[in-house]
Amino acid sequence: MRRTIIILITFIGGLYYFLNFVLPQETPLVPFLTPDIKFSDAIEEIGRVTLVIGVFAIFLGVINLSRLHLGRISRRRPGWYNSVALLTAFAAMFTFQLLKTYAPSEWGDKFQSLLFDHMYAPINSTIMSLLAFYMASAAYRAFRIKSGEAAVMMFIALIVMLGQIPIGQLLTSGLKGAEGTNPWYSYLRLEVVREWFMGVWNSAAQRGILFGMVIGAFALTLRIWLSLERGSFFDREL
Amino acid sequence: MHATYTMLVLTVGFCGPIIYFILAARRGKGFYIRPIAGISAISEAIGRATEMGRPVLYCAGLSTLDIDGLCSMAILGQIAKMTARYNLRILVPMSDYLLYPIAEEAVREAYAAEGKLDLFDEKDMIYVPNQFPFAAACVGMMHREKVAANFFFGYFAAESLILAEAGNQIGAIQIAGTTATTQIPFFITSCDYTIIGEEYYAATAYLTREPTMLGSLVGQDVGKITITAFAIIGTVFALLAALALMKTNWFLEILER
Amino acid sequence: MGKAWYEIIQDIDRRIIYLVVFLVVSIPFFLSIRAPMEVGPPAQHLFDCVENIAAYNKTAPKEKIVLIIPEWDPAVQAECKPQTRAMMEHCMKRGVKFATMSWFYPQGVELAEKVAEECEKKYKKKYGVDWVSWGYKPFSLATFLAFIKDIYTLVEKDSKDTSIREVPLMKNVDSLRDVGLVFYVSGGSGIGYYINYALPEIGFSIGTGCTAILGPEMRPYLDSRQLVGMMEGMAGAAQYEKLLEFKEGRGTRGMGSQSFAHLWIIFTIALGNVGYLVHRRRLRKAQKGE
Repeated sequence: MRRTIIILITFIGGLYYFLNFVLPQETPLVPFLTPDIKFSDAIEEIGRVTLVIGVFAIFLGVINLSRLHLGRISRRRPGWYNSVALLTAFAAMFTFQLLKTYAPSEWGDKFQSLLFDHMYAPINSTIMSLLAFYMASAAYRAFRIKSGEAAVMMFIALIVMLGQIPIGQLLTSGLKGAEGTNPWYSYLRLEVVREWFMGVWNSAAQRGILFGMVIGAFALTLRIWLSLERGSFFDREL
Repeated sequence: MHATYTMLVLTVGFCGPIIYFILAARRGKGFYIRPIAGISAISEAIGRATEMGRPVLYCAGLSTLDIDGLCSMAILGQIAKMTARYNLRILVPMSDYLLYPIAEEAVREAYAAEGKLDLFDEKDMIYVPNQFPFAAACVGMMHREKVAANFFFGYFAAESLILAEAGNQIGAIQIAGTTATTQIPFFITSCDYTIIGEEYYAATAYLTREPTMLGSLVGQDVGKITITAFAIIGTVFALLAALALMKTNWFLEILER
Repeated sequence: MGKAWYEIIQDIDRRIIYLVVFLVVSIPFFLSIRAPMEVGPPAQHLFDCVENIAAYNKTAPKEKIVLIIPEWDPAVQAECKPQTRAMMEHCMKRGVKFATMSWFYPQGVELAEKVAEECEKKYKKKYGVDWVSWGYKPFSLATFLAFIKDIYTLVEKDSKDTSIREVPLMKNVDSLRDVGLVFYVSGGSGIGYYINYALPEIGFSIGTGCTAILGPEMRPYLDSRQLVGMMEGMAGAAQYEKLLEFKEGRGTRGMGSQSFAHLWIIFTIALGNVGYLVHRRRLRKAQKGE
């Protein structure tokens, strides 16, 4: 019984959006009976409802986080002091952000700026900047010309990397034609060749991958809508 | 947003083969999936971890309760079963609060199915929200626990290279699968096996051999063949129109109706 | 027996690589190295779109605004902040009003507001009249579809808690059809929602400022004209700043570091490959000799 209700609710929910997609915009909610109420009018109300649910979902994350880390502190699990630091930072940021929005004051704004602009932002940027170092070491370690395809890839990578930077563009700046002209050799400039690689070759590959992924997502969505999934994620019936 | 006639026909047209092949698979018809190197290597990776006596790490990245996340949880369930079978620890850091209880349930059930519920330790499932704190936590786990194998299945953004490179530094065998095309180059350079794009969706079918998934995969291929046919026909018509060999590109006009 | 030179250059300690990366990125900041930047078609088309909106607004009975969606956090601000700033400065310079909001990153709209506040001082513009912030809304597809239908369903107050109907700028904005350009700045791929759901319904122009890693993914949309233009990474921001005739834009300043970092990576790859190819050749010779 429970399963049937779940399947019905899932199907009706999905059916509304599917019908909204395929029916013309002017279609009334109930033909002949509700000429002033359109079928698509419910979208706004559903949107409001899901907005409220979304906000509660944020609270769910906060509650989950607090529960986990308070549990760690109370049971004195290894590294419990990290949980103290996390909850303290969370409480501080939450408090000063609320104060900034609803009770702004000079010292409150200063503390909020200290926490957000001078602690959170630099720490976040710093971890992202690890990518620059890891990119260099990964490229050095992995890019070896072991085959013809690898050689082609290396050549194209070289053009793309050089075509993006001013120093690279300077290398072929002599190939520019006079103002307003495009002689054949001007198409050999690094930035122009790069644009060609990105716009033609790369686009084709990206499009191919995109088609496959979108069809895969379409199929999965269809299976979920029609409840054709047999709870296979956990190897049991839902 | 509302469908044009072409979109309506295509939408219904794509649904048909998918449902047909799912029903055919459920009736017992067998379908062949070509081996996916990355998925075949999962058992090799777990075997290596067993020999070394070190844990494995499963990372779902930034996946949330959507298609990528659900597929990731399916793969996690299968991998957790294998680790339970060989009495291995599996570390599962999660960044999404919606997916965290599903992951916990998946791993617990996998260990229970193998009769090794006593080996399941919820301390190995950690929740760290936000992209870079999550990446930092995973890197810390990898180095502290000296994991022997890393599995990255899900949606990843910029933290992918941080995770993969950190795993490479400790010498772990790494298998990655994601639909985020922008992260594929990073996984390819740092991981031993990478599953690209829709192979990731096929991976769930390949691992579980569930009839619904197998049939759906075949139905998807029909959809892809249809799109390819449209692309080829459309290119021919566009070329004819561009060369002024046709007055109007009536194929395009039909598609836009 | 020590390692041969071709083995050494294949196995340089990664700490040396990290140190040189640090030096090539940080030193150009102090040396103010500038090189002229060529403007690519994606940045040019985006620029032209805003210029067209400014020209349209001069004679049209109802002005169009630009909707800037800053879906970025401090991690990607090196690329996304100059892009956001360049667009905001362009709008303010040409008198095009704009609104800002975010769906996925609550920090994004706050960071963008700070950028807008710096820009409004430079161009003597005023919040509420020349720009407005609609704040952060938690994303779900149902919410987004409702937003496309009627923005006032979702946007009841601005980020300063003022009723949105009381904001002077909003008196001329009835729906998304009054938006001439959506400029989506992000390190993620949420722009797909605007292209797939909003664009067919509304028909506005969509441009993007994305991190360089996302540039290849956006190209098919540029090709099919679903995206009108793009700022690709910091280089895209630098190109846009050149079009705006800025001398000291943040994007332009960063290009010195990016240039040398690229050159260092090219050098290390070349070094590793020279070592690898020489090593392989000698091994083959040795095998033939056996």
